[in-house]
Amino acid sequence: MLFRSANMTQQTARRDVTIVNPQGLHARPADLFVKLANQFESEVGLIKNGERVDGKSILAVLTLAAEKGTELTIEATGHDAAVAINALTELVESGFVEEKRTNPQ
Amino acid sequence: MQVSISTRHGDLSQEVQQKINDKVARLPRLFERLTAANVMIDLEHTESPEVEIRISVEHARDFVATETSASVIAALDGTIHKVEQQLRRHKKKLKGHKATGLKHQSVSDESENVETASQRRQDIRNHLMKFADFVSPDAIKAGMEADTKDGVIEEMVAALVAANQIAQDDTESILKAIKKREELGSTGIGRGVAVPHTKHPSVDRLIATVGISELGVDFDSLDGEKVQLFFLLVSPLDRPSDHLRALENISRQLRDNTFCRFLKQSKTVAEVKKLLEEADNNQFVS
Repeated sequence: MLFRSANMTQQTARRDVTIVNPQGLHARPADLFVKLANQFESEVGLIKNGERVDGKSILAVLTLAAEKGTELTIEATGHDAAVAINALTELVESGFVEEKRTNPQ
Repeated sequence: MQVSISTRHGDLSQEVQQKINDKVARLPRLFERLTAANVMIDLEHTESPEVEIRISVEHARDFVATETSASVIAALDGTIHKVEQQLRRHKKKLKGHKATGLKHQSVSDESENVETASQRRQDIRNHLMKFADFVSPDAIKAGMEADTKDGVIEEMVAALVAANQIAQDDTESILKAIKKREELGSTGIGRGVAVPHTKHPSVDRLIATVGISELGVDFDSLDGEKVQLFFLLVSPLDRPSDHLRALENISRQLRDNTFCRFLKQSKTVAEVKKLLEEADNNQFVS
């Protein structure tokens, strides 16, 4: 969903995603998510079962304990919200690609 | 089989209760040794009711599943689906034992032997994990001596060995794995906290210890701060959920400034234990 207003630079974008990597959103994926989120100026939030946490804080993201199969909503507010949402969604849906490559177990 | 239905934060119509009863009452078709079913419906979030089902079975631990969905019946269906899968697996396991020539009696004996461990795991799966669920009290370190990243990891793993939580023979391999994980990206998650960890085949449950460094150690943290609080975790290969819940517990508790500050100021193991215990009792959660 994207709410856009022609004359405003503030926009909020939301996207529902499902955690697909077998280990869930543990420290490494959370780190990747937060690092990517911090590359955007928009505020980023992650919502699980109605609980919203700061998507730019690893401590906050870890409190979600999102296992494989968990449905989350990514929410971004700011002028680059749409780009942020796309990039973050891709990261989550790829199963945090880097993990597969680097995690030996 | 007895079916009991209870609700929290609201009531259900007779009609819905009857429907739930009918659906749950069909479970023994799948597996005859069910003795009771408790269904708990939480209506706190009306748009996303939560249904928990607990099934008691002869000679085995309880089977528990929860599901949240847009309606009570949808959540119930999801829950039943989950619990059916658990029951099928259980049934298969029993059959497997019989096929290998073990007598029925030995099956139930074994179930009883593993009762405590399974029950504990089940509890962990269904509630917010507590420090007491995974921190080995005898391995807690206050006033750590190490002043390097590797030194911290070594000191904490040595503490786990000394507390008989991991075998001396596995030390080398565990150390290597934890250090390798750090190379992928520091587990210093900010606020002076780090969670060095690895999976390792030698452990059959999540084990962990806590270390406090008075001066702090440079851990290449994400926020560049020195780390004073260390939670070192070693997980079995096949239980990602426990690991996630431990991280959840650590991160939730440490969001509380008071807990975080007191823990950093702890100078003795007794103080650390007391703080962890208080955190487990929710004395810090606002």
